[in-house]
Amino acid sequence: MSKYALLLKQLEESLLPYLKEEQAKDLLTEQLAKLKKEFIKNEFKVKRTIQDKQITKQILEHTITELKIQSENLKHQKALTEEQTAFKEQLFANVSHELRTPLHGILGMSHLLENSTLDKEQRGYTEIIRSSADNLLIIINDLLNLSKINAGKTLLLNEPFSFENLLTDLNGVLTFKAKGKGLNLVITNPPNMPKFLMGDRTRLYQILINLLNNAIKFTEKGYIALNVYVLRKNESTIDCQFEIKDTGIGIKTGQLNSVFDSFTQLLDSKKENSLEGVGLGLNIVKKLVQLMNGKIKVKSKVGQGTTFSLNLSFDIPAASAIKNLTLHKSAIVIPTAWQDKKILLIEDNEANLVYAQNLFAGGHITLDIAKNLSIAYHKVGQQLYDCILSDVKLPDGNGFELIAKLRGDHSAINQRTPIMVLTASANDKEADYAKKLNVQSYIGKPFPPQLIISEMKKIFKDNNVTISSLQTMQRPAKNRSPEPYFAHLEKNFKNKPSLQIEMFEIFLNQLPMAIKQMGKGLAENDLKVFHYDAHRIKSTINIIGLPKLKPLITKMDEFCYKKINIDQLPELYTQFKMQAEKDIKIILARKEELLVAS
Amino acid sequence: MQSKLIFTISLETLSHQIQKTIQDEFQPTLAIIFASPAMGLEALRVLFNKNNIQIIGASTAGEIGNTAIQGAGISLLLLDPPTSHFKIIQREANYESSPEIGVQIAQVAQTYFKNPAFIMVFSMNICGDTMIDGISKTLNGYPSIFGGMAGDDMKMKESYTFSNEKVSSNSVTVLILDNDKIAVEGMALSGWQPIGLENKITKANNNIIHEINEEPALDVVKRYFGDYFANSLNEDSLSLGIAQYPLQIIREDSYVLRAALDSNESDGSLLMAGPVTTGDSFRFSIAPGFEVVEDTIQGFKDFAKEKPEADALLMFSCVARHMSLGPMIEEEIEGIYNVWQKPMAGFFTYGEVGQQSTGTSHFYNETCSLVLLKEL
Repeated sequence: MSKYALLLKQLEESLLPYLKEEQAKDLLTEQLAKLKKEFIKNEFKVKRTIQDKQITKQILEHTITELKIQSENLKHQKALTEEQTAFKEQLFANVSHELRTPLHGILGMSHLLENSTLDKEQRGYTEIIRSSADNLLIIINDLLNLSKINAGKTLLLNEPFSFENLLTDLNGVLTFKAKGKGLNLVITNPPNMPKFLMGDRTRLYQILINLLNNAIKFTEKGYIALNVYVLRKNESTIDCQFEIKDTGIGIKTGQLNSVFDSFTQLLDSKKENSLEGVGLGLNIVKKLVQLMNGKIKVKSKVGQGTTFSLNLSFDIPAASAIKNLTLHKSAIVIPTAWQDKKILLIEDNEANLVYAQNLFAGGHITLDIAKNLSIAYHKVGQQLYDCILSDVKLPDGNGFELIAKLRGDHSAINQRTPIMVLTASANDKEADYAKKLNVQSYIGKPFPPQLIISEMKKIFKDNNVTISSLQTMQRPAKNRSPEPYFAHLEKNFKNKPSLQIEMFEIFLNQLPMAIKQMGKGLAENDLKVFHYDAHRIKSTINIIGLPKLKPLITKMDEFCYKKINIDQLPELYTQFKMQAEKDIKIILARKEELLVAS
Repeated sequence: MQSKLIFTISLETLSHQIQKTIQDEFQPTLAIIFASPAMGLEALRVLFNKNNIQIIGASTAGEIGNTAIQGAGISLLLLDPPTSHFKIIQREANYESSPEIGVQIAQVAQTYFKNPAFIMVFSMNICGDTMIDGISKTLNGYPSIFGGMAGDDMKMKESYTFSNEKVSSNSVTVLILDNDKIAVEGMALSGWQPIGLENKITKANNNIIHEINEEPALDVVKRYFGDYFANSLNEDSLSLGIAQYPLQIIREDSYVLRAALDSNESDGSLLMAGPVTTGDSFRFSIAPGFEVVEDTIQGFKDFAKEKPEADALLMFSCVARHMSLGPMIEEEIEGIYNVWQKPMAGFFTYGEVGQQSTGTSHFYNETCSLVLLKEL
């Protein structure tokens, strides 16, 4: 019995004897019974409330503990997932690199093969090798691209770019391809379209070139058109539509819904084996368009053609942003007047070749390449060039040998052709020699693209420009803050991460071989072997930047060239090798950053 | 339809009161009886057979009569509907046969009435959930199904149902009513609120939970409730046990409460008052406070706005609810009785059957299920 029940009972017992009337006794008993009931209820309520509060507290404490455990588990899971993703990406990047490296080798060799004397059958085989390797490269690049997009690692840039320049590039790259199939490529750009836009030029280019390449691939006669329409425009933004139209085979209605799916290919029944890739291109295009908050549609009629329409919005850059861009870009815009110019580039270094090819891409210039002196001799004997760009150190001799022969041979068709010497070992002695040989420009590597263009402008303006104006065009050394690791590369290929990646790959390919050969040269006391590879790798290092490797290789190259301080070469070589190991890691990391960003 | 409540703790009084009501020119044809097993259920059956009154009965864990509650007694409703308006059937069943028995009940009901309604009581070895499913699916709609799982004064050994034929601890006894003649309406209200994180039943068999979150179920319960109920779980009695904090099993568009009736320390399992399924997600639940009593009464007041009339009331209230609300359960019962103020018999069950507002009937725990009977 509770304390209160006991009190009530005592109260009842003490009061009842004093009550004489039965009615009063009943009333008291009844009232006390009610009170007792209320006491019991209240007692239970208190007890129950305490119990519930304790239980609630326990459950909540447990819940907090569980949540903490779950949170820790999630953190652990997240870390694990990130680790796995990083591993997967690293693996993917490595595999991709491992695949691309031999592919570049195959492609390079097939190019060399194509330039050699081959019979018709051999040429056919070579073409198959090259086109197969090209296709494989497309697949690898597509897979890499898609993997990055799917992983959400594709970030878009939002910076000013020249839209006109983008169209010019597209035109330059695709006209030849279209003409090769007897197709007309028509690009229309309305007058009210801004010349500059804010956005990711690389991604827009990727989308458009993918769609246009597809259009060319699936069209056998007629035309390919890229029409740009302004849908809505104000001072700061623009909504526009890009229409990629072809007169090709078209797509069946049943296939239209799946054209953007991964691994979907549009089969041309007439050319079943003609398809490239694994059907990722349009999937990548759609994902990129979605990433840009745009929309893409397709309509098609079998036998009549296909039209892809994509709607995209852009900000229009402020005048100040355009001004900077114009200054930067104007230096490397190739004048349209050079459309029919034919240039011979004598260069053996893959990195320099890519660099030069990119420089002239879209400029409608015919760029002929000779990777050694023998090929160069052959070419200058066959063809009149508007300009010859020549390296000095070549696998089978010195570039000056050819220049001297040309200038001294009155019957040579290129005797008076302007020549630019591009050398990694620019020095006054060589510059003087170049002057004597009536070389128009003597430029030290690495050279900024605008320097080449401005020099060429001089050449093409006045074909008889005198050598008196010639001077060593090496960039003057300035007092400046430490050079960033990839200064030269980043400056000149700012918006071209794929090119930067390619340069890195070339370098990563060349470096181990160079180190090996230089080591061999030292071991066998063969300065020629040592110098040849040192000079070659110096050229690539200069293109990229690498401020710690650059002075070492420059010194070694200079010592070999001047045949001085030979005894210092082993020590310099050791330092170079150690630094190279560090730089490889930095390059790999930067390459991954670029891959992820792109 | 006339109705009389008899609420007593002795058979002698019961016999006397039956005679008294009959003398009052009330001729009952049907008795709905809820009685403690201690009252002698067989004697009860014989008594009503002598009086030629059809019966449906269940053993209890406490009885309800109008505003009062009691233990170890009898609460019964005497009614006088025409015998053509109802049928009583009793079927032997067990846990596994429950769905099939549900189908059979529905099929039999269809032979009697076009639109049958069901008041059913069943012993604790039967699965109320699957039996109700069997009825609902067979009738292809939302039949009115109410009732409760019989109790045994909280001994948790065996409970009984009975008819004029027999008393059995393995049976379901069903009062099938012609819903076109006698309206059977009702509602089930709980008020328990979920608390804590969502858990998953990772191993279950019928009404036994073996594992929660891939751990022995009892370990999880102990961890959640600390030492508070650790000891009481192994007691025979449910008092102060975890039954007051049932599992709120999350279903597609609703939830059902499942109270733990017992635990097995040797294998770490929990015996539940209803079926659970491997893969079920649940949260523990708790009465939000004593306002749940007011909320429940208000819920039935709202229901009365739609169904204001009744000849008699039946109440099936969970014994765990009783444990949780203590003496406050009387306030709840009184409040509900006062809404209609008609004779009301009921009992404290080991599980209740009632309708949700959606019209579907389910088997619950921790719930108060009320039935209104009204001759049309």
